[in-house]
Amino acid sequence: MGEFLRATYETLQMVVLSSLFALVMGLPLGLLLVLSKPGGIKENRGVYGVLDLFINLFRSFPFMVLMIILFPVSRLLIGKTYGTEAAIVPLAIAAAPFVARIMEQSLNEVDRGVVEAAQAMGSRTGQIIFRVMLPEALPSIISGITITVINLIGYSAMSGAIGGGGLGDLAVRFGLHRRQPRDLWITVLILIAIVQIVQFAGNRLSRAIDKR
Amino acid sequence: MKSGGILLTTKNVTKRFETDDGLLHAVNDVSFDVRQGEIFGFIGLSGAGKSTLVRCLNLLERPDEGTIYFDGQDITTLSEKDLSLARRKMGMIFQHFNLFYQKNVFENIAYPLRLNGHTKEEIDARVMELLDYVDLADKKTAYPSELSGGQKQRVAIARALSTNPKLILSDEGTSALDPETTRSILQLLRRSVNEFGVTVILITHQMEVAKSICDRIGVLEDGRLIEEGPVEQLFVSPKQARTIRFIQSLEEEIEEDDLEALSGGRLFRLTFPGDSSRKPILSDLIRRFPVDVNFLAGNINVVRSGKVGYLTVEISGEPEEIENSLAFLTKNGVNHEEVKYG
Ligand SMILES: Nc1ncnc2c1ncn2[C@@H]1O[C@H](COP(=O)(O)OP(=O)(O)O)[C@@H](O)[C@H]1O
Ligand SMILES: [Mg+2]
Repeated sequence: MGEFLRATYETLQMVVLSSLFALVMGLPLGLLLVLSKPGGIKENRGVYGVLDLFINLFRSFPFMVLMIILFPVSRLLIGKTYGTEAAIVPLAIAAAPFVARIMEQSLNEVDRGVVEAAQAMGSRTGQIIFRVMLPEALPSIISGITITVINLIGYSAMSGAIGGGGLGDLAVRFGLHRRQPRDLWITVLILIAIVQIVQFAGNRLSRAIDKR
Repeated sequence: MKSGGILLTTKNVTKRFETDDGLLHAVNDVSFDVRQGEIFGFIGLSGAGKSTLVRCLNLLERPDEGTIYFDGQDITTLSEKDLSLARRKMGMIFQHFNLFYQKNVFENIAYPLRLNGHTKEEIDARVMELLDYVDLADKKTAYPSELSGGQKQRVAIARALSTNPKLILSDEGTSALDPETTRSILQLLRRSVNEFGVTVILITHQMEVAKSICDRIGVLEDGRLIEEGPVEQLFVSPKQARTIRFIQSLEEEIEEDDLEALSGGRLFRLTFPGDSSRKPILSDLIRRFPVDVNFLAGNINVVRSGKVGYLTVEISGEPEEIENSLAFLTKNGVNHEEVKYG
């Protein structure tokens, strides 16, 4: 029992922190994509082209490979290459380009006419970003964050297999090494429950604040 | 109220777009003046360049050539910061309203005031004043999705007026509205001109809108301003043949849309080849056959110029007499085609 609790706590810790860092990196990147895209309010083909290419490159790496490549980065930042804390770094970095795309998509959904109205009223770029684009996209951004968190729950479980700790690690130990199928299924059920709760809460919140 | 000074002057404004078929002159060498306190309308067919022109006036679209003097400064040379300040002296309304969907009515109207850094008390007072003005005080906390089209446009007008701008730009501001709502929105604009001395530049493809509200009108065709003048002059004695043709083509569009048999007869579109149009075929027809002919729409100018003319008529009477009339028309070189309606 204690093992399950500890693993669940570790998973939540990994997911929450890596989601947070992924958002901190991905959201500005997504915003930059939308601002600099052809026809965007700060059109800049150079910036857009480089960013677009970079994100695509990153995203074409299989996640596991990215994790393995990035674990050394953890050593630099945290001093360890195994355990929960060490997994957070590669998780966040691997998810950031994904978050950038999700944020790009949400921000692109903002009605072009509404942004133009704001420009016509004399809004500066920062005002358009913070008072118009982000608030108008917020329901969609929250849906995007929900997807990100759910993805990271999956990724964090995978990271368990390569020394990341948490429920994934537990599943590997029960399922592979100790051959305890009952306990393996319990970890699976816990993961399903976490995903369901996140999805439900995300949907509810997004819908509650959407006035459209 | 009408001081009549010049508020906005454009000189040789040109805007080109790269398209698949080459360079398109969406706005081509357009110059005009707008006086303070007037309602200046641009009309033109779809694609004439109306939206592009009005978007050039607040630099949502940057002209490739030409200058725009607004309130004493050439806004095409302003820095980004100064441009945003100049834009705060202009309001804009749109065909699809473009309200902030995630802000309620109060916050929509307050937005420009917040940009200008007013205090909370000032904002509250001004928004309430405007809500009363557009008669939506009870919708203060409603969201745009809860409003009708007319109500949305009234919110948009209140938002545009909130900072006491000198100029309101309207890009097809009534085109998404039904006729009755259109009238009430136009009245609101006219009232704003009278009460606040604001100037309005509007574009529309709706002839009725231009006729009913504008002091002066400019006609746009293929990006060029082909004629401008006081509204009466333009409709009663246009200077350019092209304007006449243009006005008639607009009227056709309108009338064809709501053609209706007036006395239960059948509708026909008659086309006259150039030579037959000089003979009194229709008066012959009315004399020879016991039918009534109602004239619903037509294009006389084209007839006179010797091209193919057309008339849309309603013919009513006994069914066989209608058939006889049609045979008579065919014999005299007039083609007929039944028009379905309703
Ligand atoms: N951003 C653009 N890129 C390319 N062509 C455009 C663009 N905006 C407008 N046009 C073209 O310019 C012409 C004028 O368009 P517009 O000003 O919208 O006309 P109107 O408002 O009178 O219908 C049209 O042929 C349109 O297709
Ligand atoms: Mg248009």
